[in-house]
Amino acid sequence: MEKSKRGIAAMVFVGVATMFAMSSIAAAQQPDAAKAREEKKIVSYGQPDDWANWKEIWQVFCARHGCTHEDTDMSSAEEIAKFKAERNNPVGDTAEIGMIWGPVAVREGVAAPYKGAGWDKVPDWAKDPDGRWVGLYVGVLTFAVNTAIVKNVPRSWADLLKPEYKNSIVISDPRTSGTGVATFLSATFAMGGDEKNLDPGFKYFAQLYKAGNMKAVGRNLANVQKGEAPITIGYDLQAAVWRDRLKGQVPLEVVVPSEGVFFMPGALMINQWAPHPNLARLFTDFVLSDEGQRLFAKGYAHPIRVVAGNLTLAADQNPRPITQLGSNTKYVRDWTAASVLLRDVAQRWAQEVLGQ
Amino acid sequence: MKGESGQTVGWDVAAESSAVAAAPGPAHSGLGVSLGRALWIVFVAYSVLPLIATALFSFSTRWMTTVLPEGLSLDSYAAMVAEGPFLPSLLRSTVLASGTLAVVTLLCVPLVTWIHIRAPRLGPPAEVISLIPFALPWVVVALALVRFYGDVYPRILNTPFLLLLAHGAVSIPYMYWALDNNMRAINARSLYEAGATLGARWDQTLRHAILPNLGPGLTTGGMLVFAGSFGEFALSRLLVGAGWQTLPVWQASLINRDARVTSAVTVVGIAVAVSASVAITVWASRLRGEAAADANEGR
Amino acid sequence: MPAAVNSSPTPGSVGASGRVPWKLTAPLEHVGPAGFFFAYLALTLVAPTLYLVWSSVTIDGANFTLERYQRVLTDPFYLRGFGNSIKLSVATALEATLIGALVAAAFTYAMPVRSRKALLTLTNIATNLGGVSLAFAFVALLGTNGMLTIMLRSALGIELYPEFNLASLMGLNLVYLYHLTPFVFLVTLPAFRGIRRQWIEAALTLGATRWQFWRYVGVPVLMPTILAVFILTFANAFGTYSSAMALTVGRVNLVPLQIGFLFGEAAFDKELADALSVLMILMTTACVIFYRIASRRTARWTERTR
Repeated sequence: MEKSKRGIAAMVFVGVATMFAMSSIAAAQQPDAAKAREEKKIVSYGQPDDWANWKEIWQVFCARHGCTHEDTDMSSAEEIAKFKAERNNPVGDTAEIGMIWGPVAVREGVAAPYKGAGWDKVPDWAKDPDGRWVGLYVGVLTFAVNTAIVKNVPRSWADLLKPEYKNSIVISDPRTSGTGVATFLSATFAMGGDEKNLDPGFKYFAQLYKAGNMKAVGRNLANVQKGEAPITIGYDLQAAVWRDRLKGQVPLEVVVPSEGVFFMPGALMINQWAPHPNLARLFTDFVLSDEGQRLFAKGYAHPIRVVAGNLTLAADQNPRPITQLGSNTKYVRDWTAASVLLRDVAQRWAQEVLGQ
Repeated sequence: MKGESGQTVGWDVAAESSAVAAAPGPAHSGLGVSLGRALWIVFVAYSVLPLIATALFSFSTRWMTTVLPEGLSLDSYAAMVAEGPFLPSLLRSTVLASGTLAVVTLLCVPLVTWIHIRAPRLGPPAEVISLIPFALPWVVVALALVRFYGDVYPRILNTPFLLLLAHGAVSIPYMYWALDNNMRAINARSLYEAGATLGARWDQTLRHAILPNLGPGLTTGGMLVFAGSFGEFALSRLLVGAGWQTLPVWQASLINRDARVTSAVTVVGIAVAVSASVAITVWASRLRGEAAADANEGR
Repeated sequence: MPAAVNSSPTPGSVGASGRVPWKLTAPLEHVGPAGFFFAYLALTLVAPTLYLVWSSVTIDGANFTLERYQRVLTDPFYLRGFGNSIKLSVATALEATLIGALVAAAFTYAMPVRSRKALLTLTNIATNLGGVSLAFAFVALLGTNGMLTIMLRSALGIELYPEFNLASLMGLNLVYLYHLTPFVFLVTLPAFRGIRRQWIEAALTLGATRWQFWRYVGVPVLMPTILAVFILTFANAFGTYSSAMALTVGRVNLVPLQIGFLFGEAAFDKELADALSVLMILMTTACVIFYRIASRRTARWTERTR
């Protein structure tokens, strides 16, 4: 063959081979429903029943695919550490992590890439470019106020600094809780900062702490029920559930701070060494499908596809999220930047806020 | 005091040991006794008060700003019993704690005996190792075990067997030091030498002279081991998690569902743990033939 | 047979020629049945501890580094954590050892024998309440709307808050005492078997008071036990994690909590956590050394004086 024709032939050959390879990778990625039926079991970490309606989501999914499900609640760091440590005899298939942990999971090599049906419907800022983690829903940060104890309900972050709320405000610690991280970021954004500039957040909480308004008890239903947590700051999806549960016992009012709406997404990742990979992938498809996303709404979470605009909830959908997202809603867009900065939160929180 | 053992030739070792074993009895009157009883009343009140608060909460309908609950009901207990995982997790914790107690006893008794009667120089390394579980938060132990065995022997990961081994390890301090104090008190070395003079092997001395005197150490150490294992959370969650759910792990999932049911689980858990622990101690003391020593105790 | 009576077996026996051949299994004989114990602990505690050490001084399993230790030991934040942990643990260990030993003495000498099983059962209840349940129970008792708080306020007019705070070193002290005092009581109780009834009777017959007996005979005999229990309680208090975390929500700077934060949601530095853990193990090892030195000085009436 002539030289130029050889070159062209080589290019065509490489082109076809690449297409073959890519399609076989894509084909390998597609879950096999028959194999999924044989897997019979799926194990998740950090997806507890009471959060964002996971209970019903798992029930529907497992009834459809003939599997049983188990979940163990862990922090994002523990999940990543466990996935990695048990890689020679893996047990966990999926895990929900704070989106800030997405880059960490990728770095540690524990998240498997998968772009299934519904992948394109998730906005870019809520997913990993290789498909190693994907956002499923978002929660808005709100105040949950026990109106039997607090007569003058605070309406903004600035309100919380008032002396009348001394020893009343309970938050989760950002060092141990995803909700705590979200609380911190929410105040940061409200005070004019963002994921690249955390100083306003530290300043605000240092002020709140010095004013004596923060109360050091655990932020959980028990303390709210006992009247020990007059004002708690957390996700609207949890506050709504608590409000339902405490009906008749404790009147809980959920308040969106007037400085603006801020939300944080929850992200799902599949274990790189998942023992039931087909079920895990089918599950990812399910939670990004119309049906799956609507089930999150039943748990008071805002489905990510509703935020992205390619899904609307029926007008009579009930239960549904209790807060509204508007055009000036704030959220984190650069997760890599955020995850780098947050490494310092552990020490800065202790020193700048708590004065340790 | 030391001279007593010089007169052991011709004594029945068991009789000698039960005379040693007879605990000093209480006096009947005096300032010391009154102070002692007052101390115990305060101690019991302090021990029981937090449980009373928890129990009250579990029975309450609403309890926020009042001294006592606004109303009482058994709803939380009914809800607890209706939960599927309640009974299985309760059984698992009981079985696990019993297993842990067996493992720890089988390890510690020969060890402490050996150290006291033959190899005192093994004392310091045993003591250092036995303090490791106290030095480390058990989250660290759990993750270290998972990381270590994940590389060395992955097949054992996520099995209740690994959890049992881990519980055995972290419960060692409770039993070791109680037995250590017991051994020191009964002067095991002299008992051993007396027995040896009479021709007994060390394990015969162990069974007939030393073991009957280990009642206090085994009882109190056993209580601590059982309680520790029954209520243990961090290792159970990270080593086996939902795959073999123990009571504390299941209970943790309830804390944001209904705190009164969580408190009900605490109350029932304590009731079961205490009953099981008492039952085991009674059975074990019968095994050891404590009848004679007990008779000596009551005066 | 007479050989068994000697202090410890020699590595080998003296042969006819007077040489002392070293038997390969001699160290094993020395260890004896204790071998099972050490083998078990080697697999379950020592191996993971060595893994922690290795992990804390390597980067990605390859390069050696002491950077994490340097970071911890030069950072005033972590040093304050160690300071707080030591202060709290020493204080609670002293309190618990004193009270627990007295409780054990009262149990042996002041309480009717018939009541013993019941008293032990009540103590058993206290040892079973721990971690998050214990923290919540104390909040229910002494929280802002706690049972005792309200009682004190309405019946005695005493207002605990805001001076008092459960999530402080003072509150922690109270909660630590709750699980340490029964612990000391139970671990010390067996030692009272060592106070022979005959000694007390002899002393009283000779005209001494009970107080003098205890001061000159009883307490010195019990001293090694009390020392051991103090060290043990210190270590126990030092490593306490779950009830401290549940109670203070990280408000107090203690080393176990800092380790926990490195596995939480804001930081991911397992190697630093491992370094902190290794330092904690070094601390308790130092405790054992201290205990051994101190007990050698105080053990006068026990069998070691041969």
